[in-house]
Amino acid sequence: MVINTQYGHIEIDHVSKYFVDPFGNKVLTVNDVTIDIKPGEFVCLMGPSGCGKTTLLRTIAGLLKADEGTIHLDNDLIEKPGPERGLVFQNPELFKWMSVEENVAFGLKARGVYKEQKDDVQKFIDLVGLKGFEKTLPHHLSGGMQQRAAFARALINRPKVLLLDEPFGALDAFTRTALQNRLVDLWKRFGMTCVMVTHDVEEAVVLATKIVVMSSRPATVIDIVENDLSYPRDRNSMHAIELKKQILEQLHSGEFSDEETYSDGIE
Amino acid sequence: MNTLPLVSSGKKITYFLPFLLALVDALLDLLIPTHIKVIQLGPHYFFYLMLFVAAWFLIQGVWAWISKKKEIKYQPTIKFTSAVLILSGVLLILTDKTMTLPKIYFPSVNNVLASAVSEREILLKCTFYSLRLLFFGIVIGGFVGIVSGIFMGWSKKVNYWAFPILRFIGPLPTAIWIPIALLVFPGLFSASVFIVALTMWFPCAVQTCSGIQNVSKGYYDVADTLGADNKYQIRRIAIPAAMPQIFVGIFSGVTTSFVSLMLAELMGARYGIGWYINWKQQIMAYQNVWVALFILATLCFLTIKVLFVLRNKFLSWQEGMIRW
Repeated sequence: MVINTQYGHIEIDHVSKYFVDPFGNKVLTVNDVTIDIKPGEFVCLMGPSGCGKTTLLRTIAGLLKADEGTIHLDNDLIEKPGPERGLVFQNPELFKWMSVEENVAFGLKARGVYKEQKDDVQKFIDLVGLKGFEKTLPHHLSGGMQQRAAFARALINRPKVLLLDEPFGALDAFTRTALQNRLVDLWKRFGMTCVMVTHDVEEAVVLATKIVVMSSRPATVIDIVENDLSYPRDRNSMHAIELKKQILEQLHSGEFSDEETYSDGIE
Repeated sequence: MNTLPLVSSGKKITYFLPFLLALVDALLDLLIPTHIKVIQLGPHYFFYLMLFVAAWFLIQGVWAWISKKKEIKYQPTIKFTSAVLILSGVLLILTDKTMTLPKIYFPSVNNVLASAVSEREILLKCTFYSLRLLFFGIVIGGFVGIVSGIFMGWSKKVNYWAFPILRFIGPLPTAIWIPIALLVFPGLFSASVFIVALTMWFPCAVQTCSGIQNVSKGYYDVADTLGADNKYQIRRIAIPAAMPQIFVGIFSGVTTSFVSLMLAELMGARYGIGWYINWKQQIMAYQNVWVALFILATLCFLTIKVLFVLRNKFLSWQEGMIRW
């Protein structure tokens, strides 16, 4: 798949990350991960829940520091968070004292460019399909609508990279499919690099151009699967189902004994 | 607020219950002779007051009868106002008319009203002095409390040094500071303001600090990745997110401030409601004490009312607002 963007090249180079447990022991959560993410790619970090992929994502965001190794974005070392790397969590984390409009405008105001780019607010609200809800407070919105607002808020800064931490994990199947399609549209439109953490194999197959299959604690890369199916993707096509099987098998091979957890995923 | 019961037209007659009760109260004062041992200090103010109240509730009743909007507001208050009016009548009989209650502590209702009228000037002055003291104390104490709370909640360093101080001097009873305040401050007024401000400061600082510390970390993560610097995050995230708790601090600060207001006025102030109560109590003029108590209660009520209005304005975003 060829995507014509110049920005958003992420080089994850031998990154390891420890946490210190209550007894003072170092616990390895991310082990020597090396991934090269090309500009404009849609990468899914696949792996069992709690395997350390979120830690890796937060390290790319700059919210955590790598203990070993480096992450570069377009040849700049990542040391702290920045507006060129947007982030959307599973929990929308909308500022609940602000209306949808104010939430979306937050990035512009924080960077002091609100005056020049005021019109973007409405534009991005329309893009995520929240027209008519500009003045609504977050707690009056459904989970899916809140997540839409969170997407608009992250995208208004026109990030080179959009980091997604299981953004559809808490949504019902119908809303999830609708938002997955919307995300593909937005990604096609803006061409930013997307890195998404998920443990839903189907989601990865439907969205990603590249699937990074990871093992559990510490997170290590088992395999990187290229996925060149054309968009819009049919999640029930032969190819998609085969890919799903392949990835599930790889997840099993990287797992020690947790058989049951993953057999749930096979239909 | 509870859901309102459906108003049936048969019940509408109760809209005039307060009016009728006030009228009965007025008639009680007019028709039953006052106990011979009561030395009347003035005319039958109770009678005139109740006539005024009756007229007031007649208007309310008619208004509610006509306007649906007024009806919804007025209807739930009827029970309470009626009870208050019945109690007023009972009190009149127990004091003025029969002197059943100990007369020193429960003086004639008419005499209480009479002393309110005759001392209106000094009472007004005292109210003004108390309000001024309360205002300066609350504003200064609240401001310092919220600002120090923000810094302690935000910065670990400030918290490390300031929190022990807060914990150490915060819970001390205000009265302990009176001798020191008198020594340190140049005038009585500034010393009194300090005492009131100190009581306001503690709950404001504690609640603001804990409010800021409890802001969901996810907000800061999002703000970080949206390009907001520290200053912007304090202003736009930490403070608004902590606002519900800041209000709890202000609320508890204001209510305890009334206590220290009384204390501060006992330090030898020249005017003020606390001072007035103390003076009248010493000369056993309990009718005046009752008047002052009533004024004080009204002040507290209004202050809290103002707080409610402010809270509704600033915290309308809250999901299922905390009810006080």
